[in-house]
Amino acid sequence: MDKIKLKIDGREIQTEKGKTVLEAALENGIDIPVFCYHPCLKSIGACRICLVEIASPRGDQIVPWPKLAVSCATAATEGMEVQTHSEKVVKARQGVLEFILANHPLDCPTCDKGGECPLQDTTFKYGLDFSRFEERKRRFITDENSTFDDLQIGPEVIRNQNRCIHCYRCTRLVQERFFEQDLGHYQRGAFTEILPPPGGEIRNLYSGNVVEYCPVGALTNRDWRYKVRVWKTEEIPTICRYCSDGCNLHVSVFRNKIYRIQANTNWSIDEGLPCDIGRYGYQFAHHDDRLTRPMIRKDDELVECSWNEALTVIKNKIDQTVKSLGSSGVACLVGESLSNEDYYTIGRFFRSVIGTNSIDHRIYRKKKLSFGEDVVKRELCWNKLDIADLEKADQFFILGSDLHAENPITALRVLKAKRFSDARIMLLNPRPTHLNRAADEEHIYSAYSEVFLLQGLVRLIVEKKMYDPDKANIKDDEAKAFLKETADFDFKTVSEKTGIAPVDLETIARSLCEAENTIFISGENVRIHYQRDPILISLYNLAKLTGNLNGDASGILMLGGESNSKGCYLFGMRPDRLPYDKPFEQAEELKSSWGEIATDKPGYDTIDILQKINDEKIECGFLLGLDAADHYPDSEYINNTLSKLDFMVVADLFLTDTARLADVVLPISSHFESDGTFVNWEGVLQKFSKSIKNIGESMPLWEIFSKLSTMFDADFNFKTADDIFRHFAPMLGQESVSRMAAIPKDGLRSEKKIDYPDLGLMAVKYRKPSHEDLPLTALSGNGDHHFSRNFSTRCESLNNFLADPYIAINDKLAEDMTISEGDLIKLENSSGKIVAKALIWQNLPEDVVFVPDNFIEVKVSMIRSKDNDIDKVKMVKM
Amino acid sequence: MEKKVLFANIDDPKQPEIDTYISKGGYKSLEKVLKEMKPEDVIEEVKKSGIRGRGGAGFPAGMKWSFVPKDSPKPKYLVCNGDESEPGTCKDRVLMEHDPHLVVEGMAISAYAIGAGHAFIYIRGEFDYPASQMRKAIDQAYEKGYLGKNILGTGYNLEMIVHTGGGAYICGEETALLNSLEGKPGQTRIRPPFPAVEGLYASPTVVNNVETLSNVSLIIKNGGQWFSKIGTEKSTGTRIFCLSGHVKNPGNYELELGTPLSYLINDLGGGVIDGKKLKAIIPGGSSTPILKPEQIDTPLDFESVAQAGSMLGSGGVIVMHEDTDMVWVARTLAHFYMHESCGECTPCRQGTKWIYDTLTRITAGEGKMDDIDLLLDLCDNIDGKTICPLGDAAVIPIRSTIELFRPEYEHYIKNGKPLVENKFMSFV
Repeated sequence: MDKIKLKIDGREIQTEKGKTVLEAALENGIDIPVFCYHPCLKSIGACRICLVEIASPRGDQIVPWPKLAVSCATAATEGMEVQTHSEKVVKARQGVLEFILANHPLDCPTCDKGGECPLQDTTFKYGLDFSRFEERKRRFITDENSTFDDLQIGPEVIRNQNRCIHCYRCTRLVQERFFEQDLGHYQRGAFTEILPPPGGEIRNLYSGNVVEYCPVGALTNRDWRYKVRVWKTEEIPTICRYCSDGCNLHVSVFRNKIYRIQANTNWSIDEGLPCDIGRYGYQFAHHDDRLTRPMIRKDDELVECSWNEALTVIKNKIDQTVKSLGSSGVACLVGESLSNEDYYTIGRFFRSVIGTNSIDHRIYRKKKLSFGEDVVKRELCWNKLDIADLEKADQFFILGSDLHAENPITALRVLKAKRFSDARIMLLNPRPTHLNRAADEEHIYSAYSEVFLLQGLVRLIVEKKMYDPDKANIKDDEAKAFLKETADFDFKTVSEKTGIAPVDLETIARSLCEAENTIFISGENVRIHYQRDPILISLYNLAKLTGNLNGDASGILMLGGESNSKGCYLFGMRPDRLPYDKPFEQAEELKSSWGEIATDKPGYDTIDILQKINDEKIECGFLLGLDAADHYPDSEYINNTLSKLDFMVVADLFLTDTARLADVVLPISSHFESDGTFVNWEGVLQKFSKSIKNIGESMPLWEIFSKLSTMFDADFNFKTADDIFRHFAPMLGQESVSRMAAIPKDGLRSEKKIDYPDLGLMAVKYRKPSHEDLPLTALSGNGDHHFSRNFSTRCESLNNFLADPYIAINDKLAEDMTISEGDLIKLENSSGKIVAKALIWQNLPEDVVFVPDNFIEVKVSMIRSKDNDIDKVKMVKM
Repeated sequence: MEKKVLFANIDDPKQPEIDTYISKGGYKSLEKVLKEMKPEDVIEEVKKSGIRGRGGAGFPAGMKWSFVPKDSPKPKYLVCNGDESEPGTCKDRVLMEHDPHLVVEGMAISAYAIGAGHAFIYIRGEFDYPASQMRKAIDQAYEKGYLGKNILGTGYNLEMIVHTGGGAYICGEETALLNSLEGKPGQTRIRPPFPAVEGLYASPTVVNNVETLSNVSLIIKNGGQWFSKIGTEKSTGTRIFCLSGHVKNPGNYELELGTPLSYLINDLGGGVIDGKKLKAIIPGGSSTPILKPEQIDTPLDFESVAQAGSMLGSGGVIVMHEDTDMVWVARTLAHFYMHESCGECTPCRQGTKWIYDTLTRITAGEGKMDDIDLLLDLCDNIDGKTICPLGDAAVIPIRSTIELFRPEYEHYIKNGKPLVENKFMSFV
């Protein structure tokens, strides 16, 4: 970066070329007030509060500019001399502030922004203590009977136009960064109003951010307002518990209650723009359904008991099982949003105290889907890019991922690349996804035809020699061999199988070959796909062919998962790997601190655990932070299986469907009630802090298992999360971080970036899926403003966006069956049936139905069967 | 003196028909340009003519064109600004209504000169008839092969599109016009980047006024030399002046630049009505400072009017006689600017309303002596501190009326009623 020198208020400062005067000043601690400026938005110079006086060199003279200039939109140049406090500037600034305050109601005592209001603060600092404005203040009356003039413009946003200072941060944010159109400005001049489109609401997935961006109280949160004054709350840093992006958040706590969540900007991850799920998704913590005391089954009924009683029963049952079946009679399944401290303690308890390796977190699968050798060899299990790298890409190839709903913050970076460097977005999905609002191309392929699509594209590129042989590193004979091997994947067949027109396939192939840097993103649809590994290998082929295998802004990303899916891998929540992803052969180090652990053979994974329960080889099961009965994609099978367990312990926040089957139910604390760490999809380890006291008698899992361990006379008894962190810190490979407190503000990022090895093209095979002979394919995913199960649906604010489950169907299908929106429809197959209201989606393929899987009332697992690769259903109008 | 160049055929009712236009030598300039001249030659010819923009600011047109980067890989656009909304101005409308092909030909030549493949004409929403005339003319030009693909077999392609606005004064400002043309709200953009570098759809764009572009056909037809000999040395050519207010014969008059204002008002306009005494003249649309009666001999060219303390602006000459209440004038214009402020930047959005509110209070008889200084200070807090010139324009009539007619304000405040009882300009 070129450096330039300029003087601000007589001080010589250095800055990078291309920065604005304002940025140069702020970086050097020189204060210039701002309202409309925001580092995440393009400057428009609207509020004029940042006016400065500038002179710049012309020849050997320093020539003053004829007018004051807005520092937020003026580029700093070599030799410039800037005055931020000259007489002219002070007069102009006070003039602007006087103008802003002229029509502002100054209703601070009843305004929720009071105490954290940039207008208050700036006025406090620069303002006049009187106003010359004697005219009647402009008012936007929304209710004749009230002087508050509040108007609800979205499920969670309330507008008070009187307070608005027209900085347009909200509308710019929505349009510029979110690519949404649900907030704009109407009318003109002093009467400009911020409103959603006529008849609409602001309800995009990031809508809560407009409240935070508002520098006055014109936009406030329905959820937060009039409950507590901000200066009485304490702000505690936390990490979002929902998706695997790992947004940094701030919890506002007053008297042991959470009142709201705001952004806690981490520039390398969230840029201070969390989605609404993270923002409002805290409400489950205080939900009435929270379990507060342990429960134990007596006379076939769950009754509350003491911790001591519950743990004693567990201890005795484990002893009994180990005696009769050996330690392999005990197994444990965990959820993907527990802390690393939980995983470490759970792992240590089961491996070293009990002596079983049967621990798994992959409940979402029907069949064994361990990564194959080919995938592992190609290092396809790991994401080698960071979220910030996405900004540098020229093109995104998003396959089988509802990125918007699965990783909303990653989606924001994709949008940022689109906005600021005009990156191309190609969406390939079996159903339309909301990211299509910004996509250059969206192709809907026939469900489960991914292998055809990808291998077809690879073949097309090879066949037509579209690739650059140097970049792709492919020899002619290799290409020939590949073509021969993939003869079934000819252009015509691929087009037929995928339903994508030949001309479109060619366009996709061409743009893949033309772009400099492409990032391939896959998501949940691939993660749970019966042919996941062939898909990943084909993606690898595509990346290799187009020269995108390795690079700063190209590569393959496998996203999806939950807040600590990565932590599950890293902390050994798999039967075949030890903590920090160590193979059993490297157990020595671990043994030195854990003592003896069973490393002779791997434990059972989810599929085997369920099988062994049916075979009566496992009698004692632990389900920790996991609603297996609802998550597992075969309702009947999992219920039957779990009921065969002789003894079942469930630890959760709520009495879930799984918990209802348990012999002992343990109430666990949420991540707001303990310190801990998560690892996001990039592999960044971030800490969250305890913000409220434990609800009821609940305890975090690490505490429960520490206590349990002492009953087995184990040699560990962790008192705090930091105790545990100190135990596993050496494994993180960063010497400076030995305690939780030492984790940097932006998280602990491992520096090593290994490239994908170049192992040449590899043809994959298409396997015909097994399925019932029914007309419709059932797909599922996150509904609007919801994520996974049990948590988001227990948040009132999120339910304000979407409260009821639905079944989305194509409009033609609806017409044929005379179904109109809201009619009850039933999906049915031999596994079971579900009933919900119909929602009509125009672009949904005719042979596909979509069901959001967040709602407990409508369980998608009811129509799934582990024996079929694809869940086909028939639809009946009720 | 009156010199009908642009207006040479304005009275011919058949002039909007392409056959009439062609029969009088129309589209010959376009043919000449496409077949015989390189784009640089056209720019050179226009530079030679010395023509300055007719929209208000008077920026040399040839120079504006030469700012368009030659090596940009992006498409280039020509935009003709037909959002004529300046109070007192009605010249572009007449050109579009009565000689639309002159505009089309000028646009086509200019588009060729800057290398644009698309030319837009943005016409204010209220101009229904001018827009339909332009549409008709463009359709005819397409039919005759003067627009579209491979024009006159030269291989040059040009699409011309009429776009009507929603009726906002601010959209006459070029960056707001471009936003509006893109389908966004009509609010201005901060400069740099200038439209010549990053204009419509972030591509190099030239925005010129209707009258400016109409002149281009004539410059090519008769040569830049010819044009530069009309008018004064620095203000070349003719201009259409829109005479309105208290004169006997209001209307559009095309004058050679440098013609005295008195010739326009007294000789062509027939002098002030009803034998009243002249009180004030706005020489170039409401955004220009007022001239006093003793300045009536000021020559109408850019330099002389500037020397007299005003601006030639858009050519809208408004004449006011002795019975005009100048505070009411200020309030009327203040209302206009308040109503038209786009609301983007603070000083203009809040200031124009504050000024209007204060003037309303004064004219309602509730003024205070301090209000006059307050108004001047508000003007100072707006002037030069806004994104676009609307803020600067809004304060001009206020300052000007206070400077020249302060006793009228004082009388209003002291007595609660105007010094002059007849209100002629009460269109609010």
